Amino acid sequence: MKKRSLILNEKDISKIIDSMVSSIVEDEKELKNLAFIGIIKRGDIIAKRVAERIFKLKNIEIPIGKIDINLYRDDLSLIDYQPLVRSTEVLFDINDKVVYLFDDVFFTGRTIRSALVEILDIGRPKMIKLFVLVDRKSRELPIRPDFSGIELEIPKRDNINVFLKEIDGKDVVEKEEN
Amino acid sequence: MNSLILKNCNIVNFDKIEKNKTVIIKNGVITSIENSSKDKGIDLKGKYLLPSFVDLHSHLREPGEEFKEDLFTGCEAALSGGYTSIVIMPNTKPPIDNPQSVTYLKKRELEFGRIEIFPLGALTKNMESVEITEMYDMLKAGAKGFSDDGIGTKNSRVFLNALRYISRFDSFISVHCEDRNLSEGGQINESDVSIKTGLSGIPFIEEDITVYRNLRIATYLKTALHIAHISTKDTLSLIKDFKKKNQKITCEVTPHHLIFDESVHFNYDTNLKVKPPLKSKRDVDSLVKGINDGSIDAIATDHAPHQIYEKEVEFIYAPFGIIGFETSFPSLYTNLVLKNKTDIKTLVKLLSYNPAKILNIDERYIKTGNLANLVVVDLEKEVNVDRKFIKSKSINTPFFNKKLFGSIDMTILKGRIVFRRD
Amino acid sequence: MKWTKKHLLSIEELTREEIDFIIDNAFSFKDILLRPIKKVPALRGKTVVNLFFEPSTRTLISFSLAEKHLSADSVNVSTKTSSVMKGESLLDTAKNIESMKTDMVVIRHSSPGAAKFLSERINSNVVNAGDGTHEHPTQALLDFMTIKEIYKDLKNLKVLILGDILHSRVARSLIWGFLKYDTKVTLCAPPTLMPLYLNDFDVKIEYDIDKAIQDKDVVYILRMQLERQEKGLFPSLREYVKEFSMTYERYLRIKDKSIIMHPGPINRGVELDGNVADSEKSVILDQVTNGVAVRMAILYLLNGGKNE
Repeated sequence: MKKRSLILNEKDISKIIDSMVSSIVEDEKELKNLAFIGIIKRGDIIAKRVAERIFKLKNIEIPIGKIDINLYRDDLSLIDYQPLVRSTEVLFDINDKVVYLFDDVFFTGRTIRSALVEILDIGRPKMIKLFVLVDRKSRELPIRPDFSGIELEIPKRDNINVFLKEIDGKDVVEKEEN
Repeated sequence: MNSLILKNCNIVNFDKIEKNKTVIIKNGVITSIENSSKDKGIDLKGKYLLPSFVDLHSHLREPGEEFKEDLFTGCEAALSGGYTSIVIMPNTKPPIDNPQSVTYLKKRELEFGRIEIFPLGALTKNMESVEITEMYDMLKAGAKGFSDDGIGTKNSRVFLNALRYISRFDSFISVHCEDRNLSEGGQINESDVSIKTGLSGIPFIEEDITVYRNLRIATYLKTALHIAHISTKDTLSLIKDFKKKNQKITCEVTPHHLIFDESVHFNYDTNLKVKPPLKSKRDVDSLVKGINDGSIDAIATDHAPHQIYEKEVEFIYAPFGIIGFETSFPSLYTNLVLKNKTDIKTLVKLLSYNPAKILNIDERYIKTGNLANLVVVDLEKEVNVDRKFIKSKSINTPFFNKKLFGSIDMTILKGRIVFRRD
Repeated sequence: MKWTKKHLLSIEELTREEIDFIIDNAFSFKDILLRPIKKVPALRGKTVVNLFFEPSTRTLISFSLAEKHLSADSVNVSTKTSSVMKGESLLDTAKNIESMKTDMVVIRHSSPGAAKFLSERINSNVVNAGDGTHEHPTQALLDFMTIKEIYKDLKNLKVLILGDILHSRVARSLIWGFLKYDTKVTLCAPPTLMPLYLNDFDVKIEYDIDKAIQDKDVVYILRMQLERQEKGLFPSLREYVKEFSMTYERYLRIKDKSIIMHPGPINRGVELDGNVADSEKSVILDQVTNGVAVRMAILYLLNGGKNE
């Protein structure tokens, strides 16, 4: 039997979104020059939640895009079946923007590397910052998040499962020991 | 005195099977057939003894294309398939259309020394369907008959003249029936298979259209005529009709036209690219019926060697034809007899008895007084059709690397063992 | 779904789910074509050989661009004559090329079955870019994608395929695919250019073009090869145009929402009027764009195909 334990509940997740919002509002004087990009499938949801709260707070609409990194993976030739390529949707100009990149879990840094390359193929932002819900602290590349909701040091074989209401019906982060 | 005793064998003739016999052969002739006893002799341990096979249709490629086959390898292949007597077609390069070429082939037959070859000469010079050949001289040089095989004699007047000219002698005239205007550029039979595979189709009527012309001319002249490698139900029914008017009409079918239908082409196997093209299942069924009801006289191999590098190409570039000596009996036995579509006596009739009669050579019937032209078959033994099994230079057979029942273990020509499987 | 095929040889062998999956991917790849930098690293380090034994401009460029957008390294081998005429067989050519360690081969050849022949003999992934009069699967896939862009679903659409059906690999691939989608297919051609044996296909045959074009959601016009006239399959261009061409006058009579398709290259004034090709119902240039996206999707998916 796999052992599961709760890491974050709905309230914790909401708090983390709030602190993401305050961190962004504090750092950026010019919220108009921002753009959010979320990594499919859950980073884009987090980006959307953060943007919605900023809109309520400041009445500024930040453009949100989403990217699918499958074509940029460095392990495409190692995996068994090619995953379905979902549409990357960045329907605004990112040149000279400050881009906030969102993902649910930061693990090795490889997904972020792929995402960075893809963003740079789309345009040339002024700066890119990385915001994640969970940092597993087991990076393999010199990349680290600018913001993480919680830091966890767990064995590589264990999983972190993130559930978000928009697609999973609940807001939960759990650990699964293998 | 030269003698051979074969004991404990089951004798198969076209009309009956006799179990557990001993055959005694002296000077090439069967001198007696007795119930088996414990005497000396070669113990065949219950294997089957058949009259050796006679092939009415083969291509040995000599002279001209010895890289595909030469007379010696072709003859070894024939013996290993149980054939002691083979008709060879004149469409070599250049064609056998003169007495000197026939003399050359007869000389090669003597050099080989273990088989009977019946060369056919071309009906027309260079097989161009313009001028008839020196047929009388070719007969004297040893030709058994004539054919413009592979092309057919296009010009009706020339064909009529050729048949009329040679009619004063008994000879074997074999016609290849193809309407080149309809078949040109075609790869396989025109049908839903040609549509689905994209391989251009040949309308099957091209065969019976040409058969009709040829039968009509032979019947008009009251001469004998042999229709080579028929492939359709309609051709067969046409031949049946004409046989009522002209008893000298005969026909043959190949093993592959009795075994495969056109649906095999979905695999684009060039070792099933043949002329005439493979036809529908309905045609195959009617041909099988034809061998059982006697309307088809003979099974002939149309042994047509092509090198592997000629066949291992895109379908449209591959030449037509497959080899057939080695696999003829085992493929027929496995695919027809073991599936209860015919019996072994019928095979003997169409592989031995009838073709010998058509050629007017020694009777292929195992009885006292007849020549000991025999073949020993192990029906239980499976053979693997691999490079070692195939004696031809070429391996272009759809049975390659497949297993077949019915091993030709020994071939005997006039009392002499001319082939023995290790 | 999981994509398991190692080669793309025909539409006949694909399931409807597989066709949908390719097209779903292709729509994502189409987005990449709209970016300023039209390149993703999905096939970085992979080598693709485009082996074209028949002249082709459009398909070769389309494949080359697809390969480049996916960051594959590709080379084009084009030859107007057959390999046999040049003295080297297709098999030898392919084995030699593969010895240079290639990963994929895209083949266009005049012999039906050539792509299958190759796929059974080399280790690379093989893509059929047209094999004689057999199939042209990537063309049909880009056509289905183009139709889906407009109609969403192919089911119960009324499609007319007009022209030389008998010699058309595009028609064969389209028919196989349309029937998998339960599309209603009508074929129109002079009888000499219509296959005699179509019993296995649930299609309607209509020799009268004016009846055939009525109520159609898609009018797909095939290219007319002029050498068919020399072979005695139709008497004159004049009569062909009169009886079987999509003239402007006929164009005015097709359904308002109907679309005009053509695999290219078009013969203006032969199988269709020049103005029809440029008309608002024509999606011929969309087909070309989608062709690059579909080929990107195919190359991407085959790279992951692992079956033997």
